[in-house]
Amino acid sequence: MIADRKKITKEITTNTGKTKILAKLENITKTYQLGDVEVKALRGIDLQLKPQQFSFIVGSSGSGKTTLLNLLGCIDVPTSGQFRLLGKDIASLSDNQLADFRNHHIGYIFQNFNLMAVLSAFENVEYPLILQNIPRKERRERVADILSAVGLEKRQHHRPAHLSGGEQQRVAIARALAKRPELVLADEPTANLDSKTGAEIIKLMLEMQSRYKTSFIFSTHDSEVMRYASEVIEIKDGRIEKIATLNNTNVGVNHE
Amino acid sequence: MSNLQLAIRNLFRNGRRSLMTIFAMIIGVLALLLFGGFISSIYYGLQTGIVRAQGHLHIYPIGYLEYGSSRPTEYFIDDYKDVIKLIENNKTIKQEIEVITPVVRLSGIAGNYAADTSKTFIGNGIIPSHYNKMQNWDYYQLNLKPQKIALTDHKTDQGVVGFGMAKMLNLCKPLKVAGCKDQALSTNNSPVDNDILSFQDMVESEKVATQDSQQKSPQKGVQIDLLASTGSGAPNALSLTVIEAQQQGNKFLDDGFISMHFNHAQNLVYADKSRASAIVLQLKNTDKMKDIQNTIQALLNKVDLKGQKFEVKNFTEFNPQFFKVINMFSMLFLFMVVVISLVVLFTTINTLTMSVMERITEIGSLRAMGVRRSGILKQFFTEGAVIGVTGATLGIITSIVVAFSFNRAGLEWTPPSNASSTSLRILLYANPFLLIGTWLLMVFVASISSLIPARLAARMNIVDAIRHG
Repeated sequence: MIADRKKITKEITTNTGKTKILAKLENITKTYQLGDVEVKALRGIDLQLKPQQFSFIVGSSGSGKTTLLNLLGCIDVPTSGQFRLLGKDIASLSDNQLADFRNHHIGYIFQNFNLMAVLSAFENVEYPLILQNIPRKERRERVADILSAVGLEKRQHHRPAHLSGGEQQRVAIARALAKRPELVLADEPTANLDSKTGAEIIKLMLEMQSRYKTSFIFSTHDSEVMRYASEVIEIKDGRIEKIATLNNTNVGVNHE
Repeated sequence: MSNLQLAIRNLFRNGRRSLMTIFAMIIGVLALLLFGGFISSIYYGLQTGIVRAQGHLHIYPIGYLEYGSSRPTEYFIDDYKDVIKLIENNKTIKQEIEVITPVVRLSGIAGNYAADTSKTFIGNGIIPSHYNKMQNWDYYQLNLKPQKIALTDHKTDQGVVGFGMAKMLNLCKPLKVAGCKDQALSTNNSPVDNDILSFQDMVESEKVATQDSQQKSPQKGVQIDLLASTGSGAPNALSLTVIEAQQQGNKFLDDGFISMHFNHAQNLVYADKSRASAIVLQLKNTDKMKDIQNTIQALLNKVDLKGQKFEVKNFTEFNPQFFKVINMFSMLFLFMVVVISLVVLFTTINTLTMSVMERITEIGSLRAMGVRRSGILKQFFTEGAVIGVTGATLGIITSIVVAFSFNRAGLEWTPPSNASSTSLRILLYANPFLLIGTWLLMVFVASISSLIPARLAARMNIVDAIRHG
């Protein structure tokens, strides 16, 4: 079982490599069945994402932005179409391979933070590294480093219940980045924060993106935060309405 | 952060619910262990009672158990001393033997001429010192009160009767039997009696002789007369001085029981010949009983003792009631195991299912972060196992404390087929499998029951789980 896991992990981690295309989606559709009603969440998405961008998926509620984000995060599969992420054909991966792929390459930041209530801030950040079997010493150094980077070194032993919303989201950012993924996905990360804290969180993520050279993809309907984006993908009724590339100097874009 | 640490913390998340589950398990373990300990006490108590009174092994002429009591002329051990000598000469067997003694089993009619009463009896001819030594056997250290017999080796004409027998023969007053009253003598004999060979006539000559001897050396007790069939089939009568009434375990036995000196029984059945019905062996412990049984059987098969063929039976064979009683209690215990396991199973399933429902979003987040289905399964399985280990361990500790207090309380009871009360004890350590088995069973049941909610959690759709919050 362990050997099997190592084999899959090795395969997934070695085949991704450095690529000029982060994700490529071709004619992606996603249909849900809600009782007797068929809901077409995505109706033929064609999209190519470059690495190390600070991208925003925007759209009104029900437009399909969260569904697109879920597909990009490999926690959902398309009904039809071709999807490659980091050079991998995601549809060809088994459930365990997908889990390992997410474990090594994708960081998640949730709207409700979704921290584990029984773990301290430090342990929450450390948890994904345990899943990667990173040695204890290296793990601890990495966690301390990232917690310091998000300004939570003095709150590291507090459990989520004793942290403010902003602090919890900082822990979530640290947790997503600690494993040094190629891609961080954030589903409306500022929706449950006041505007000031929300802006701080976005700035922090921008800073982290710049420091760790990671691709960030957000879903949001907050027009205020869009000014930080290097790329805005507007989605409407399950289709891409517009893709705008902005010349944002704050973003650590890969200019190769 | 190991799975175990995470499981413990998650169980503390809703501490009250986890504690209630653990508490249910403690009660379950307590019930199982107390009942199991009680059964152990019955098992070892019953075994001790049988071994004290009848020994571990009996050597009989082949067929004695089936036909012996109706054919004393055919089923006996001739020159029993040679058989005993043969066994005692084998060092391997001898070192395992506590007591080896001959017995005579007999039946006949006992009459109290003075009270004009008679009753069929089932008799035992024993060597009193051997019998009383056997009563000290306490391999399992149960400290049961020995049921020693009031006979002595040198007074061979004395005997002991059951309480019921004392009543039947109007011996209550002379033997000072508590709660027993002699019937008044009847003055009207049925005319039919006069035509029947009188039991009184049968024993008359013996009675005169005995009265003479009583006048010469007055002794304790009351005289009765025994009539039995001899080895040659002829009737034989002897007087017996009953010195005590001793209550027997069941009424049937109590109403007909007479125990007497081996020599007296031998005279009654075999006249002066050196014969015995059986040879009784009490071993130092029961563990090697089967081996010793086989060794003796092989030894007896090898040696020619006047062409006699013997069989060796152990106490579970000559006393089949033993396993019937034990099997009855074992079935009750098994039934209890099933009921308690089901309670633990459903309590744990309920607790962990509630835990899964409360943590749907967390499960979705973990899966999104890269935890495999097996990882989620393992986490909830560990929580079930932690509940199982904690509940079972605390249950065992509680049971030990309760059993200790119970045993010190000095409660007594009279087991079935026992004449006297004995201490009511919970023997937890007598059978190591009871403690280990109960612990393993509870941990197993709790772990297995966690698999249903664990599977439920592991198979959740990630998107639905994340949205759940």
